[in-house]
Amino acid sequence: MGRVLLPFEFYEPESVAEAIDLARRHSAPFIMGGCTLVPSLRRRQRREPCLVSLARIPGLDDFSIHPRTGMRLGAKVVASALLPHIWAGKRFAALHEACEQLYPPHIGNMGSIVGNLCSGVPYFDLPTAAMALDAELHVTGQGGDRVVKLEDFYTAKFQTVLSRGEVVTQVFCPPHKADSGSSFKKIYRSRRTIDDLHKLNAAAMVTLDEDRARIIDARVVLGSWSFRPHRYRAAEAVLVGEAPNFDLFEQAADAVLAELDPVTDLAWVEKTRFAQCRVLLRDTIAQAASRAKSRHDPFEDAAEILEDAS
Amino acid sequence: MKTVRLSPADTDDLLYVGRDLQKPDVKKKVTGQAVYTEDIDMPGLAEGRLLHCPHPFARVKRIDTSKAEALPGVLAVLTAKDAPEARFSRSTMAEALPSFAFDGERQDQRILTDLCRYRGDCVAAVAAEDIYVAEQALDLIEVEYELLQPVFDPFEAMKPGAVAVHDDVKNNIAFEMDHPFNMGDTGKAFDEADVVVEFSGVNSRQKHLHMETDSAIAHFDETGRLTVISPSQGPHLGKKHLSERVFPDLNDGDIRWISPAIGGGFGARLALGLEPVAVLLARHTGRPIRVTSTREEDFNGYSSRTDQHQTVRLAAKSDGTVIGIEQHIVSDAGAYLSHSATTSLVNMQKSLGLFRCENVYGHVKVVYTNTPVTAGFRGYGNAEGAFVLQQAIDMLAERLGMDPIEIRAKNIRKEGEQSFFIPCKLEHSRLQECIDEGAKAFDWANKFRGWDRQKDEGRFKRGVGMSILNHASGAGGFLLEHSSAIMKVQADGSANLVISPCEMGQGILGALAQVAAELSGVPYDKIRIVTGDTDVTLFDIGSHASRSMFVVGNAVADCARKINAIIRERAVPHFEKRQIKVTPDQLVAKGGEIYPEGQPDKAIPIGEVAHDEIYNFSDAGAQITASGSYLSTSHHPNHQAAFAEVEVDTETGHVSVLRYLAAHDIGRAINPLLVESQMQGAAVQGLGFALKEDFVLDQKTGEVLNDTLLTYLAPTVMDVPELETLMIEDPFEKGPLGAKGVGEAGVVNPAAAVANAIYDAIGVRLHSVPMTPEKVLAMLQSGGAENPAGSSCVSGQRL
Amino acid sequence: MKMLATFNVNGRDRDTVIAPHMTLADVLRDQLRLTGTKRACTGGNCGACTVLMDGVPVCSCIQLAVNARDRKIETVEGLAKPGGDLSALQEAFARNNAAQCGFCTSGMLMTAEALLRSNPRPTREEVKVAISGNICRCTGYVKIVDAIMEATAAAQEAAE
Repeated sequence: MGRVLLPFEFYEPESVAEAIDLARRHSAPFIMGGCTLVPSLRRRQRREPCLVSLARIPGLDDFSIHPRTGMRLGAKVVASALLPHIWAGKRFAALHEACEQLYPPHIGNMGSIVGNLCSGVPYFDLPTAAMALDAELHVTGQGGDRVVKLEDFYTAKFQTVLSRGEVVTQVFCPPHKADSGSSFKKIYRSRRTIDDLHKLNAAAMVTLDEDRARIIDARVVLGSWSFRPHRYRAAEAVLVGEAPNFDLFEQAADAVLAELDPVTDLAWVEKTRFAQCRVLLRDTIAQAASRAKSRHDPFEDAAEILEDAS
Repeated sequence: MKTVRLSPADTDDLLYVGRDLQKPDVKKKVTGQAVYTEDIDMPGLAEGRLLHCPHPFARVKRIDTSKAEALPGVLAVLTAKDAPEARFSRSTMAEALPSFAFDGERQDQRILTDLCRYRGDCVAAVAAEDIYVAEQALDLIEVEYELLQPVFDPFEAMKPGAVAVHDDVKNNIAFEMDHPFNMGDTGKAFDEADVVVEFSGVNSRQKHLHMETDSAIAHFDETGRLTVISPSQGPHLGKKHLSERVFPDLNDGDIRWISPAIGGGFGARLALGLEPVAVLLARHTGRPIRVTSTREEDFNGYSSRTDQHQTVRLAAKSDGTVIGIEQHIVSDAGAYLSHSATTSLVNMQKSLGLFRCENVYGHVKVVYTNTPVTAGFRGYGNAEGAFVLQQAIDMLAERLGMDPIEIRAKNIRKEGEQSFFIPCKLEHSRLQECIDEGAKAFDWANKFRGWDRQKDEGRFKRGVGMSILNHASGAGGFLLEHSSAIMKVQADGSANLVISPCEMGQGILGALAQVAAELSGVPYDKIRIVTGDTDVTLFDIGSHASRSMFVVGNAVADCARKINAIIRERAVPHFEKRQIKVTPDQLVAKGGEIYPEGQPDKAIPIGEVAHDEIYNFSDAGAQITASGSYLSTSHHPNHQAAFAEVEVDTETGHVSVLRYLAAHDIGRAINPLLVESQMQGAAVQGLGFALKEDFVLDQKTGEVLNDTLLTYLAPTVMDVPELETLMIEDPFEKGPLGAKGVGEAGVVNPAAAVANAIYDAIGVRLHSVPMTPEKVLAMLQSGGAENPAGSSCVSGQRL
Repeated sequence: MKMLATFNVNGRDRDTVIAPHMTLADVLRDQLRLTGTKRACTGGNCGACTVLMDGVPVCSCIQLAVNARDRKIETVEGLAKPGGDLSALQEAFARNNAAQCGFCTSGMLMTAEALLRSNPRPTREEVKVAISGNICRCTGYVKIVDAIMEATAAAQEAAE
């Protein structure tokens, strides 16, 4: 637990190819905002003799967000960039909310969304939200490009499918149907054991049919329970085909709980964790469904704007 | 902000006192110019850092510093063999306490050790040319530990056969005593009582979280004299303690201690922090050394509240008269004793002394465990006690069908009665007025819906609760409560005021300058304060116990009155020159001017008199200067009544405080803005203690789990409810212009008032602070039944 | 791995020698002697070290200095008006006693400054959200919010 960082080599390549080459040669991680890496280096939780910065590579801070084309964010796009964007708030609300609720807000000005997804920190919020939006990561490495679903990205605590020298250049969330809504919520807790995490977070995405009477698609994600967020397909199956209502959301939440293992061996802690988790999931799904139902952004308008633009 | 004046206002005559003036250091603070210890640079300054033991209980088998020493830029690498054998307590209070309490402050730790009793114990210290080299050197020190079986739970630690944290302490009981003012026969009182209630509770180790982490600079000058610079709340006691206990070869006068701007104290700086190790490194290197720490080191190391496991029993007659009080405390000191014995004693002093009662019994045990060291924290045990006592008195009210206000009003000590600070009388109290005015402003009569009402329907339930407190305003008779001030007037009529209190945010310098200005005649903006340097300031035990306004304020008042008299006396010839014949008694010196009483048009500037006293060749006298002193021996606590309204989310257990109102008996507000600032700050700190701030250790490894400001939930602006403050003013004749101390007490009521409000909302009593959502939920789920007694902070502060 | 670096701080270019493992807070404080910026948690969790980088608040304690070259940096020392008079925001902090121990104050001021530039007429709730990542242990926040509200364009106009 140092007060300052230990020395390291530092490279500032100006192209992705150069960055990949440097990272491979030095077996070095990439650094973007540094919001996760810098504190962990200072605390000696990680030791890295060499870092490769993406700061000077042009183009990585491009982003586009549109109901028709989806959300595409370059590796350097910081969380606060999403906040004023109208379609981010309306059509990708779960990620927008997670960005809005980053603590402290300053982090949103520094940390990139892709960096947050790549860090593999179990309690982070953005992976939970992005997973509910079916996010996929565009990975570039020496062997070429590949696309990895966020769901398949995490392999262990702080570990991902990336090998050294592979870099995520962008994250993409596909467009979804008009009557869709998403939502993100979290609850802070006190850690009780060494395996415990200090919060719970959840995100959901609900799509309704054209009459807005039945759920035709749903994604339910819970994070901060294990080393990574998970999608709960049993809960989604509870929702799909049904009319949205409070009891249904509770059943969906219970379907998630049925798959969860206790985190600690303290009975009272687990009882309250499960109880809070149930409320969190239920309310998150309810909010997503309510947004789907309200359809406050007529999809047709978006189509016109897109045509005007093209 | 609202002030309720109980006696006719005399503020019309006052130029400065009672007004919201800006404190003298505020401009420096809003421009970034205030200088804190870490901001100081000096020629040759080198950086020191410490290596902490990563195990809760371990013996150093082998330590190899050779690689670190070989690193270019490293000046010294010290280990236990280089540190003095002398044992000391981090608490400096030993030097200011009478023997019965002093004996409790065991001198039990070393600067560097090879027997590590908690994860924060220091095994090595490094000095290097800069912080980066120092850090690399720490990284190169090789240590091999022999791991010992630790004990984390105070109740486990007391069991026969438990691991001994200190070899010389049986059953790990570091301190045990009956309260010195126990009286009457509680056994008989409980036999004769119509009603008996009992309540148990425990508090978490709330961290001080002073924003400025600990640091210290030590420097031996060319004559071998030591200068220490550090954020200390009591530098005079600090140098006495450092010379007496840590470096016995130094004398008190061999140390000059400078306390610059302090980034928050809250009791944590009433202790030796990094000063001893900075001195040790400075000695070995011959260089000025600055030692700094990190937030994680603060969390894992020294300074937090002591977790006090308490049981309070009350015996009462059917009319609500309390006839017996018992309080039993088991406190977990952590690995070293520090302030935990005295905070437990002060808890008893406040809890047992609030209500008028003939039969009183208090008993405390303080236990060593292999956990971080606990300390004194704002309120000094009072908040811990109030959480239990104020729930017990509410239980009594419920049993008797009485209103919480009524039962408190019936039992509180009144002014003029015997206080629990035997043998003192209670010299000043407006607690009843606090209760009355607070209740009125809160609309208690309508908000409190009675004990047997139906609880609200639905997910969110609301309730109200209250709590009252008495707290020190200096501790005359118990601490060395004397202080002195010096004032000198410059040739332009401005003045230097030399005072001892350390400014850690409380605004004391401003308030004291207002007293000095009011009584001396020198204008407020012409008073320049000199403080924080023991070579200049007079002896004083420091800023704590809500004592500075009262004790130092009286010393300043004494000094300022003398200055005023000298100015008037020396002004007489100046009026004679103008053919005005007056005696000093007929003159008024006020607001920078002197004039014959009733004739302000004849005023001459104080500067004229002051100038001639220094620069007039023909009849210069002597610079206008005076010193004043005060010794406090009376007992005149400040009081507060607080009222809270909460809403409980019964599905998540989350408690929202909707409204919090505190009515405070303060004597007089020298500066209402500063008083309200203290009340608001204390209330929010108290609400953090009540609801959020959880310091939890892993029960298997003893690791501090919430050791960052991400996981340790300190109150943010989003947690602040509607805060209302009422100042109940009725000047106390012994106070400087009627003032009493006010700084700490606001932190005491929130947990108690909120706990009572939670009970009112959901019908379940919480036994441990913080009352986190998980605890509220656990109690709700079990209908209050799941209440295993006696577990410790380690397993999550549940009783 | 030392390098000569230029930082544009409070409108002036400043040269200094840094290494990549140095944080912006440490370079500002130790090298450029701008000690108004405080280190309190050194983990990006408390806001005490807030400076503005290209006009937005960042935690300088976890910002590598090497990545702050070529950026416009503003610290508390740059807040006062030319000539040294306090800015309206600083005046409001002083008037309301919004600085107690003062250790969080620089970060609070910089965060509030950024808010008022982008939103000169914030509501009380917007002020709270903006400073929700700045921890103050002394004031209970009330006077800080009061002060910022007094420095909004609306309040300044009303005062005129």
